[in-house]
Amino acid sequence: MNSPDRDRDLMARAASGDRAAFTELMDRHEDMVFAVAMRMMRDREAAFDATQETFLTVFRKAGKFSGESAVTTWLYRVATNTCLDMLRKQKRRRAEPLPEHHDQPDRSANEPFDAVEVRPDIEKALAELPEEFRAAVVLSDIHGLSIAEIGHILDVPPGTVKSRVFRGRRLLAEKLGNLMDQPRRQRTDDA
Amino acid sequence: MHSHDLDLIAEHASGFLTGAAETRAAQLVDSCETCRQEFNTHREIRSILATAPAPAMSDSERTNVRRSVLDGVAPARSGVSPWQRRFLAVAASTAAVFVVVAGVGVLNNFASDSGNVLTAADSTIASSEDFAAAEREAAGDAMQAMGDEDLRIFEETAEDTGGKGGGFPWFVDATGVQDPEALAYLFEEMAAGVAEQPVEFGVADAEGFGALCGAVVEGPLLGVILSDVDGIRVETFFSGDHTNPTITTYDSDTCTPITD
Repeated sequence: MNSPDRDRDLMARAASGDRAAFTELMDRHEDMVFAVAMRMMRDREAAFDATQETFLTVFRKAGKFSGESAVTTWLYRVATNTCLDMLRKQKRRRAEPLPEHHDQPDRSANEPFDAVEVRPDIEKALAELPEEFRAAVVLSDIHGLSIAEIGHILDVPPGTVKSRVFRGRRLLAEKLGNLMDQPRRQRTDDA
Repeated sequence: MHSHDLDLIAEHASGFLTGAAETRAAQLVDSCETCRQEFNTHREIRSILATAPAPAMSDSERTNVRRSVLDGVAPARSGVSPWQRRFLAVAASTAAVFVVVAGVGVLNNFASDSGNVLTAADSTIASSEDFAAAEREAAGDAMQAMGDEDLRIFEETAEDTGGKGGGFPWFVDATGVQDPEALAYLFEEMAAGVAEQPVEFGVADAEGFGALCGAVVEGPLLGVILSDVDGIRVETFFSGDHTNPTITTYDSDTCTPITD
């Protein structure tokens, strides 16, 4: 049985309460879920919480898995939405100001990026992206999902996914100190 | 001179284009410095992200996560958990248990003929030793009958409050609650046992306190009910003196008050 079929079989059995099947499903995908959670939550403990919550949701809602998409796509969807929900809750409940680095000028923004001597903190830069952009970039460029899959996961049209990915990359480039020597883009005409 | 279609260039860098569009984008990259910069930005960011090491769990972290998840999906508990015992102890120590019957169930019953705002006057309050005993028994029954997820929410909240009901208001993430009335009832009982006051309690949904409908509450809050049940959102606010709760129902989707 190939991997997608095996996933579907496990999901069907988990939906009927088969814990062994659910455990195997978790075994197959927990690294992926944790990686998404870590990139989204910016905090290891929160990523653990998100991973746990994702799999609890998967178990609870296994019966609602329609089978129209791959199990992995569905898992990405649950994981991403769990993270986004948790981030929204954090914002509301803590009512804390953003971390200082959100308000500080990015000192590296106008400096050329030296991949050897000044290795950019990609995780930090990712963490500073707006959540919607971060989700799109993580799913697209780290996990290699298609625009259609990401649209399904985030429940937005493909055009919106593309827009978020592109804008997210541009923001990342700025946060990483620009990959080019010249200032960022000018949308006006060239001279 | 041309207007830079940066999204076209980004699509090109992402490998989304074919045919004439791809040719057109390639020409722009070759002939325009701004377009070339855009192209390189996307390619390099993609490359950096594609090769970024994946965060990984250690073996012990993996074990902990699995244990937590598998505990959460364990079959229905038998017997009485430590938090059930603590709850029952709190309930038993309360000489007179005031039972304020409002909350979700009553709201759902009365919303249609009482308008959108109910007050404490609408609540039924009873107090007696016999009644307290009966209530303790009912609470035990409720906990035994409660689903795993609801019980987990209750226990986690009880744990967060140190089992003493301190730190009002409690904001309870009730995502996935199966039986909000039963859960609200347990919170009411636990809160009443601690506050020695008539205390209504309920279930806060994931949207959090007052966030969705922009409710404004003056003064300190004692408790809050926020729950979405069958498309009806219920918000209950309590003033600092534990009296005069205001209960408002909204349509969950539109946030408009339900008035009939």
